[in-house]
Amino acid sequence: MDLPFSTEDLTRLYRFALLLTGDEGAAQQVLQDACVECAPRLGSFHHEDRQLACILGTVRHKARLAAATPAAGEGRGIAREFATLPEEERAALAGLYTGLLPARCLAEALKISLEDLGRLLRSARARLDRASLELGEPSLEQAL
Amino acid sequence: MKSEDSAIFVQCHCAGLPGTEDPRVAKAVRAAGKDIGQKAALARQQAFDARQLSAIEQVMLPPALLARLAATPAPGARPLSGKAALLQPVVIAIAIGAAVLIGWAGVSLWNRAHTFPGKDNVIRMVEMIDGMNGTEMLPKNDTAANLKDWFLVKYGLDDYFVPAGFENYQAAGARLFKQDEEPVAQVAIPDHNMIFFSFKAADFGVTLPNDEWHTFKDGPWVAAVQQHDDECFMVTFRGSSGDMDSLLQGKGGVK
Repeated sequence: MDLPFSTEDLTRLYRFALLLTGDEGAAQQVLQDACVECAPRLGSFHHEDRQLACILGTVRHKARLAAATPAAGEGRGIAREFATLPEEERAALAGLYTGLLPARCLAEALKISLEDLGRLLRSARARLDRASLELGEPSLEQAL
Repeated sequence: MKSEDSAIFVQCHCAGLPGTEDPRVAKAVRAAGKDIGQKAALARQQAFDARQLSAIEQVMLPPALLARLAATPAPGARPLSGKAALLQPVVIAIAIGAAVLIGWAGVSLWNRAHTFPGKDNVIRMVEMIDGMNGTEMLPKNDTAANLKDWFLVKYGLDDYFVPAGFENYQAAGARLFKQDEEPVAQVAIPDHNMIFFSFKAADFGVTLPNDEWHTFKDGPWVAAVQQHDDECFMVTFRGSSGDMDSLLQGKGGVK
């Protein structure tokens, strides 16, 4: 399959899928399915941001379908903490941290305004901070 | 930019990532850097993000997934929904072609069902009416059936024939004319402005099942022809096939 993405972009997409699903196997399947679905359409986008927004939105959609919200406390590392977040906050913060898109494009890909993205990120950071303490993670680096 | 707005947009900032590319985010970050309260909050946010990013960046793309993506054949066009599939140009072209064929077949079948040997000669009789001015006929005041004796006496025509149901129409005029040297009896009927024709089937090559009506349109005219043994009778008037069907049904002539 010929995809217009670098390995670095695919890696970032995989991180996004992992943070959404909380499971490595599910993340791989979601990303593969999203690539298969988006591949025929990617050529119609002239800007890389649009291509990435297309596949980002598809990964999010398929992650929603793949499973219910990943159970908090299950899995390993950073994904376990992200599982404590509501889906909207999880998608917003995962989208920001994967660094695939500028904030404005990320907001568009998530179909929200930049202001709403800011509010979601504020709430997500606060919730993730509390979750880290509750889960007793000494540090995120060690959690991985 | 208001302090509250700035605090919101700062949340979209993540050091080292493209979040600051949006002007509003970049402006909010600059404003936060100048505000003591926001500056501390921004520093905490950046430290928090740095810890998260450090963990996330440890996650690498599984080589097996990369290999699977490379090995997956390029998918074709997306499967189309039923409606979208029907709107494809190829499907539309096929549908149009099928419609034309069906229409052509329908017209052919209709023509076959409504044609008969000698029809061209009969049509010429109908079209000849348009060239008449009314003076060609001799005035008559009798029923169509009773004109049999008149045609026999005046013209020596002994093949005049009027089928059941049409005998009692009152005639206003009648004549005998020759088409291709063969005699044709013609009677004008004021009712419905009908014209009756009677002629020998063999003279004009007409061959029809006995006592069976065949209807056809010719311009504004509609006509129905019936053969009875060697004689033919035709009734015509300006109207539609439906008008003729109604007339013949009243005579018990249409199946």
